[in-house]
Order: sequence, then structure tokens, then C-alpha cells
Amino acid sequence: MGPTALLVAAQLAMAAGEEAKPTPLAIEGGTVVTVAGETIAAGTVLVADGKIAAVGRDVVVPEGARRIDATGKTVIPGLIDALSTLYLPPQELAEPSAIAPEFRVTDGLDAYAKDLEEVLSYGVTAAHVAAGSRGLLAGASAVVKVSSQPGVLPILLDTAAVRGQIGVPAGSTISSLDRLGNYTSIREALLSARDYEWALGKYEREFTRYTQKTAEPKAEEGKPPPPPKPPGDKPERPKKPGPDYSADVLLRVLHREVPLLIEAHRVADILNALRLQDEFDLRLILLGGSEAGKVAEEIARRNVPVIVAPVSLSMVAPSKLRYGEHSRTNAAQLARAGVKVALGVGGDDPFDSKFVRASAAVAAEDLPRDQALRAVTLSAAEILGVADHIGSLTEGKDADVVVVAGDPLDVRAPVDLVLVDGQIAYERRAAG
Amino acid sequence: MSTRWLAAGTLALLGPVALGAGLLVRGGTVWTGTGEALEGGAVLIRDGKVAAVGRDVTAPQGVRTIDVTGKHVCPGFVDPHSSLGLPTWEMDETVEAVAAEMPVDAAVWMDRPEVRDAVSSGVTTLVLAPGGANLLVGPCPALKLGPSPVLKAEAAIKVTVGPSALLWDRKPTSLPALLDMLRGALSDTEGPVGRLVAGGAIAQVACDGLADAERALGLIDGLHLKAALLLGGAPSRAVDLLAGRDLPVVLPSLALTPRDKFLVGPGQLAGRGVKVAFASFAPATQEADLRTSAALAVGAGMSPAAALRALTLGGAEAGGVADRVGSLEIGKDGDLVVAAREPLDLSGAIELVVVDGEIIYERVPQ
Amino acid sequence: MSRMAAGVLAVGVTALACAGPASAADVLAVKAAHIITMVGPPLDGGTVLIRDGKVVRIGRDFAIPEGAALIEVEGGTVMPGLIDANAMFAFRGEPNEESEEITPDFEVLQAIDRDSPDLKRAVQLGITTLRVAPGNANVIAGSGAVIKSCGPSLESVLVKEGGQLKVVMGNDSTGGNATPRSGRPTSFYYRQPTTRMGVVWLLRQALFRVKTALGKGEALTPSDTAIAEALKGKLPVEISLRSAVDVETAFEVMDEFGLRRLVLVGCPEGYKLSREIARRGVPVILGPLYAYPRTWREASEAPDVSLNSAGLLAQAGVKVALGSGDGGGPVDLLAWVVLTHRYGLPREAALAAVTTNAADILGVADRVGSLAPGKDADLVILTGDPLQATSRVDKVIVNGRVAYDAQSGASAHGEG
Repeated sequence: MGPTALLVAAQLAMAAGEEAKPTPLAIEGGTVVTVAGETIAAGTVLVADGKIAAVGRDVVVPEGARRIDATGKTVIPGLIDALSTLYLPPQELAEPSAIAPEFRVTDGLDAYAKDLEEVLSYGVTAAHVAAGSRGLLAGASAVVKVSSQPGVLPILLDTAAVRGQIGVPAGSTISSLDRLGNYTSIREALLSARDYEWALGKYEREFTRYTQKTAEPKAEEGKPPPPPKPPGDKPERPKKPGPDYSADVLLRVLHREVPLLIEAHRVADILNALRLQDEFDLRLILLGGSEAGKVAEEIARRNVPVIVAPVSLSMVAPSKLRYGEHSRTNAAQLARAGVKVALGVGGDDPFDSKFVRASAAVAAEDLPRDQALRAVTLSAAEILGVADHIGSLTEGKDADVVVVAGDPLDVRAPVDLVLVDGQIAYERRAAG
Repeated sequence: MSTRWLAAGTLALLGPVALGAGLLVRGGTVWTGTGEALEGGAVLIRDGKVAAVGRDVTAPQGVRTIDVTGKHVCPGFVDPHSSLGLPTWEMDETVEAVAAEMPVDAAVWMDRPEVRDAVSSGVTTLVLAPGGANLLVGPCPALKLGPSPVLKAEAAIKVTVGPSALLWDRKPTSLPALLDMLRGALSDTEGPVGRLVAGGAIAQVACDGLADAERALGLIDGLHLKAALLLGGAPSRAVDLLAGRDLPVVLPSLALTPRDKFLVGPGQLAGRGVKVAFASFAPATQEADLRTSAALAVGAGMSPAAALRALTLGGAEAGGVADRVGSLEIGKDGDLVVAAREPLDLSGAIELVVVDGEIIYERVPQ
Repeated sequence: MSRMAAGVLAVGVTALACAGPASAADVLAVKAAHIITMVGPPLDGGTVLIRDGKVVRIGRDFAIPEGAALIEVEGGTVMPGLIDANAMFAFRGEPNEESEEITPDFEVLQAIDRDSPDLKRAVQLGITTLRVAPGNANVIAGSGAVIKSCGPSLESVLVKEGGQLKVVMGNDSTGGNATPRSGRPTSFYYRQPTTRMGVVWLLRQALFRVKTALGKGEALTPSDTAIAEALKGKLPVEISLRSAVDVETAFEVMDEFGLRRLVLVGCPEGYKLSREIARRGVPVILGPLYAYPRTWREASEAPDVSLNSAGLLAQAGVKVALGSGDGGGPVDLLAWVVLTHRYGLPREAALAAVTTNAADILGVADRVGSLAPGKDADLVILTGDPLQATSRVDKVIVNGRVAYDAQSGASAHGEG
């Protein structure tokens, strides 16, 4: 069925009534790689109401469902780019000030971004977008879906993490003193958030006392009214600490409600990031991690997940490969030590997200193939806190499904079909 | 010059294993670069040259044999345009617009990290060129990433037709004058440029965009240059312009052409019979990105055969060294790559790289 | 629902064939309520028949051949495609070879950027032919080229290469030049001219040198050939200037060397000397005029611009054409036609300023500027009369192919 026919079918379906549900869709006959569970040869994925309704070998396909034949192909979950600049206009990459954790990347996203169809055609259905790569604490990152409709920007998670960095050079180099300064600045920001919390608590207590002290004594029934208080000696009204939006956000990090995402590449900087976790008992996610393989044990011991970005593809960000001693086997080293690993493309341009599969392929030089695929699907979703929605072909999750005309880790095999939230977002036209 | 290279090469590389008698790589699928793949094939290298290729190759006495059953063997990749080892400040000698006596290799620092990384990339030959701020610069050598680094000292000259060669306070400041100067320098058979061209150097003509490509072709045709075109701008827009020509067309690594959405350009060009090659323009991208580019191009519709050819014989033609490298044929240099899976399947690591019959890279199993 | 529908529509638009491989044997018939041919009286209703990129027939009562594509705009007016006689945009790199001030052999053709968004905009404005001139940074700047605004290859758009010797008077060519304050000059910008005197001096020096060499029968350098041609009267000299003072100086210098084939370009103060200009039979390519000043040079020189320029010149008998000039891409020539008419240029002269007059001055009247059998099929289809301010460009046809269609918004230029 050609694309025009598809659109017409969808239109007809929608025209059937405002409340009409979209037709269920069944992708049949392909090798279904669920990622969370087993791989099913000649399996079926049934999609209904934007969700995965069923996955298996003997799935009952309801009447009237649209059937798509995926024989000879592979069906996988939509891919996730764990570090992307999709939807971000170029000026949003610049940093406001060094410490601004209250900034939110969703405020800067452009729903009319142009690169979406291209990225979809490479099987990427969700992206973790984080602005401000060089601000020390640059603000909240978000997880978004890749939309096929201009103007529609589906935000899956508005605040995925607060992003910071230690040791990422602004120019071509950064001095060791500066790198240490990064760490101490972040630490001080966290300490000062704590101070703010304490100051707020102190104010609460003082205000309670003040209220009690200045309250007029209550008249009791049947008794004569009590004498008025003598004048003078009135306690001072305590001053409430001014609003500190930065501290508010960091308190959420300190209370483990939101993870702290720290980009660090060199061993010393990674160790400092781990020190932050030790001191403040927060939820740390390491980003970048060029040399993380060298201290994999330390990372594993603390159960810190790592988003490796970029993955030895200099075509996306040549300068970033010089931030540390980059190695193609980094992701595998971490995985072998027991670290949960996701892969991000980490490119400077929005369309770089299309290189997710290529990144997974490079990681698969060393990682077992299923782990490499997991690193761009379920592991990424788990690390980013959206695993109940995406990351695997599991009943009840969003119907973000990709059909590849071959092995998912072989970039020579093109993507044939992409579903996002159960709607066909991309369909490959046969070469004319 | 060659002495310095030898010393530097030995320092930088991973200690080549000297195999005087020869090397036999057998048991895998051999992609010779001239036709189909030979399953269960073998390649015999003696004295640095390919001595035999086929299914029934016996190993003479004293030859080391490597069994690569289940793996894939292909010619070493050829990068026709790279500035590997040139630090950015050494990329452009801008004082003279036409600089035909600039020994490019004098600026190369062989122990830079990107050079060490390159040996594992599968690239065994590269043409070393500077940046594009000169109209014409050379001679550019063709180098091997192996123990005898100089393949051809005066392999190419680099010509730039486009605004990047126009500097503010140096003649020329305009494209018409640029073309005049180039025509003058290239036709002067007594001058340094003319002598290089007469000596067989290939003119690698770089253009910034489609508009410049027309001008570049005019220059190449008008002067009957032995040339290769380094195409800037979106390849898919240049298909009609370039089809049907016997002119190697070099495309930069795919991420450097973001305007060609869906990366369809290389496949479209190859489909119309254009001889395509990929170049890294290192350090803009890594040598390893050549293989990535070829694989992604296949995903976007390029024929797998054309993609592999682009990395090997295509690169050799664009570098003017196809008589020596680019395919596994008797008499050519013994440069090959062993990959865990098919050569363009990126999920298979490159496990062995051989240059002139010597193992220069062997992947340590993890 | 509407978003889906929009998607289907977007799929349905076909790419226009200007830059793509369309069959050259295409037959196109354009029907309109009014046809302005610029040769003879306009037609009230009729058809223009086009084959292989040329006009074959114009008239009212003939049958349209089978297989011909038909374009019909209700109530629309067809006129020849507009000609921008002095386009100084769509350059790649610098529009002058600035290493020297006297560059008579500089040919701008190789500096034209056919991918420029300015050309795309020019097509949308109805400009089908433009004379691209070298920049104003040199005293003797070289020669320009007349090209079509749209076409698949350089050969297909080139109408005429060269054809004039451009001279820049006034202080434009002093730009960037300076005196070294101390020590040795390290830049080739430390040179003359820095004043009008210097400009005139360099000009006279070049003319004198070549004239002397001709007189002695000496061999000429290749770059002096163009000056020699001008001295022999074979090549017109085109002088870019703004102030009336420069016009007078120009005439003085040209008289000194017997140069009579002149064209004045820009010339906002020309109206002050309209009788003199008319007496000498010198045509004027006027512009920019109505959005003035566009560049800081124009602002600093601050000529006495009169909106009635075109009318006053024409009244005195000067042939007037219009050109975008420097600083900011193509102007809306059609709007200028309306403005020149409003400010005194009679209807026929206003239309001629962007068609036949421009073609005559540029020496390409055999191909463009009017609609007649055998001439290039360059047309603009307007929604109404060209001199009505509410008329707009609906379709543009270059060399017989639709280059722009305002309905679909699709343009034949590729993405940049």
C-alpha cells in the first residue's frame, strides 16, 4: 500500500467520527526483537490506541485491523538517542550563565524543526535533549518523541535530569585548575541549596514562634478577659529568605527526585562526579564518559549509569573526541563491569540523531549484539526514567515500533517503517 | 625525506611484525575489489606484493599463515584526501596563492594521536594534502600507514576553485581572477606546476559548492587535466552534471554534507556510472569514518559493490595510485584488511590490517 | 484532519521544470486577457504560442496545437519578462579583483553564483533577464554578462558575455584604500585612489597609456585590449556614478579621449543635466532611486535624489532603463515601473524602461525585451495591468519553461 493510500485510509478512519478510534495495526511475520523479553521469529506486534496491545507468536489479530507484512525483516522498538540536539535551534546551544539549573530545555524547543523526517527515517523515535553543554549546571533536560507533524512536539518527560559538566572545555583546551573549579562550583551550588533549605526551615520555626508570641490571648468562656500585654518588647518579625529558583531545582536533585546528569570525560573529572554522588547521596548519571572504561569498577560499585556519547563517530563531533582519551571499546568495558550503559550520538547538529544505529553498530564490535541494541532502547529508557512508556516491545507501552529490512545493527539495511504512538510516522518509498 | 619518514613511521606505528618470507591469509571470504567475493579464498603476499589470490593457494615454505575462517578479507582502504597528522596551524601556507613547491610532508607530526588511531581504521593508503586556502598547492604525497611510508612522493596537486581560496589581502580576491591564475599556472609547462602535472601528478580539484563544480569542470576540460573532483555541496544535486564522465569524484565523509538529506547522493552518482570515492579530509573527520560513510550510503541506496569500490579502487583512482593499490591483484601492493563480518557491516570490528605484507595492526581480543 | 489534508496536498505539488531536465520540444500556449508585446499595439485577448523556448506565434485567432500545455490566467496580462539592466547581486566571492584598480579584462561571468537566493527572488519578481555587472570597487572594473535568471546550466542562461567597459567615477572605488601611516606599505590596499582626483588620474592614465600605445602601433597587453576597443568605438563605456559633478567630469574625460559611446549608470542626479545627456545621445540606466539610500556610501555621498528623475530625463529625450544597483539584491522592478510612471514617466516609456530600452542598451534586443516570433519565450503573467499597483506576478516563464508559479509557491530553484 503506498503512502498516499495510507494517508487516505487514515483520513477515512478519522472521518468516521470525532470519537472513532484509529484502526488497529498488526505487523506480522518479522523477527520481533522485544529487547525486554525474548526474540520471536515470525512474530506479530499488535498496535491499538497508540499502545502495544500484544506481542507474540500467536496473536489474535482483530477484524478490520490493518496488516503489514514484515516477513524477512526485523521488528524492534523505536530507537532512542540518549544525547541529542533535536528540536533545538542553534542559539539554544549557547550557555546563559555558568550556574543556571532552573533553565528548562523545553522552553527553548522549536516544534517546527526541519530535521524530523530525516531522523525518523533512521528509526529514531525518541530523543533526550539537553541544552547548554558548557554551562556548569545548565538546566533541565527533557525526553521528547520525534514527531512526524510540524508544530506538534510530544514531550514525554519535561524534566529528565539536571545537566552539568566537569572539565568540558569551552575552547580547545581547559586547564586542570578550571576543571577543579567546575567541580567545586557545582559542589558549592549543591551546598548552598542545602543552606537555603536549612534557612527556610529556620524561618518556619522562627515564624511559628513569632506567631505564638504575638498572638492575642484568647478569651475563655465564663472567665473575665485576660489583661492586655504590656507595650514594648515586641519580637521582630522574621524575614523569609527570598526565592531561589536555582536552589529549588537543586533541592529536587538532593532529595533524589531528579537525577543529576554530569558530563565528564577524563578520569579525574569522572571521579569528582562520583564524589558528588558520595557526598550528597544523589542520583548521578554520567554523560560522555570517554575514559569511563578505565574506572568502570568505581562506577559499577555505585550503581551509576553511563550515557556514552559520542561513540567514536567523529563525523558528528570531531572536537568532542579529544575531550578525553577516546576508545571504541569504552561502552563494552563498562558493560562488562556491570555498568548500565546507554549510547547517545552527542552531535552538534539536530540531524546527527540519525546516527543512533551507526553508534550501536560501533559498540557491537565489542558488546554482544543484544546489549548493543539494548543500549539504544531499553537501557536508555531506564536511565532516563521513561521505561514505562518506551524502550521495548512490551504490552502496554507506547507503540513506537521500527521495521528494518535486515539486521538492526547493520546500517546497510534501511528502515522500512516507523510507528510513533501507533501512527505511521515514516514509510520508505521504493526507489524509482 | 624518506629517512625521516621511516624513523617517524617506526615510532608511531604499533611495531610492525617483519615477515620476510611472506604472509598467507586464508579461509575467509575474499573481496578482491575486481569482481565477486571468493568464499574460502586466500591471499598470498610475498616481498610486499600480492603473489596469488584464489581458492587454491598453497603456502610456500616459511610463510606465516593466518586462518581467517568465518571472516572477511578486502583490499586496504584508500583515502584520497586527508590532512592526517597536519596540525591545524600547518594546514595552509597562505602567503602565496599558488604554492607548487611546498613539501606537505614537512609539516606532518606522525606521533599525533589521530595517526595512531588511523591504523585500526582499515585505511592503508592516503594522499596527504593541506587545506583549501591556496589556489594550488603541492606536491601532495601518497603515503602508506606502514613501514615504507612513501608510496608516491608527487602523487597529486590540490587545486581549489571556490571562495575559500579567496583571501582578503592577497591576489586573487575574485573567482574570475582565480580561474585566470590557475589556467596560467597549469598551462605553464616550464613552471613548477606544469612539471608536476607532466610528471603524472593528479590534479585534485576542490570546489565549495555546485556553482563552483561547473567552473572546476570547465577548467579540467579546458586543460585536459588528469584530475579528480573533490565535490563540495550536496552530491545529489550534481548528478546530472557529473554523469557520464570518466572523472573520479571524491565525496567528503557523509556528515560533512548535511544538506544531502537521507545521504542518497553517493548512491545516485554511482547509479549513473560516476566513479565515486570517499575522503576523510582528516582531521575534519576520522579515517574510520570512511567505512562508516560507505555503510550509511548503502543504507541510503548505494549498491554495496559501488560502496566497497569507493573505499578501495575508487580512492586509488582519485589519488592517482590505482596501479599500486586499491584491489587484491597479483603484482599490486599487499595491503589488506580482515574484518569480523562483511567489510561494510559496521558491527563487525576490523581485526587485522596488513600493509606491504606486514601486519601493522592486530586487534586484541577483549 | 486538515493537517492530514495539507500533507496530501504537499505530496501533490510537482517540482517545476526550470532547473530540471524538461523536454525542449515542449509546446506551451499562454492565453491572457491582455498581451503587451512591446512591438506594436497591445492585444486585447489572445494567445502566445511557444515552442523549444522561443515565441512562434502571437495572435487571437489560431488553433492551439494538440499536445500543447495550456496556461491561462483569467483577466491576466502577459508582458515580456522584466530586464534588470544593472544587477549587482548573485556573486560568489568578490565582484571585483581588488588586487588592482585597473582591471579592464575582468569578466564577471565566472563570479556569478547561479545558486544564489537573490536569483530565486529575482525570478519571483518577474525578472527574467539581468545584466550582472562587476562591483564598484575598481576604477576600471571590467565587463559584465547578460544572463537569464533561471536555467539548468550556465550555457542555457548566458545571453551575452562582456559588451561594455565599466568605469566607476565618484568615490566608490576609493573604498578600502588608505595611505600607510608609517613604515613600508604591507597591504595592496595602500594605494591610490583615496579621492576623486585620484580616480580621475588613474582613469586618464590608463586611457592615455593605451591611446599612446595604439598611436605608436605597439603591442598591447591582454588587459589593455578592452580599453583599446573602447577607444576605437567598438565597445561602449559604462560609467557608474551618483553626483552631477561626476557626470560633468565623466564627460570631460571622455571628450578628451574621443569616447562617444557612453552609458550612465546609477545617476540619481542625472536629471540636473538631462539636456546635456540627451544632446550627447547617452542612455541612462537608472537606479537605485526609490528606496534610497541602500548603502552607507549612498548615504554619505547623499546625492540630491529626485523622484521625478526618470520623467525629467525622458522629457529631455534621454533613453531610460532601470537597474537594481548595489546593496541588497534585486528590487521590485514592477513597483518601480509604477513609481516612475507616477513621477512623470509616460506609460510607454515606463514599460520600455524594463523591457525594450534595457534590451537596446545592453545589445540583446534580438533575443529579449519584446514578444515576437523568433525571440526568447520570456514572459511575465500579471494578475492585472503592469501600471496598476495592485497587480502582482502570477507566473514567470523563462526560455519557455515555467520558472515560478505564485499559486503553488514552488520555485524552480533548488534548495541552497
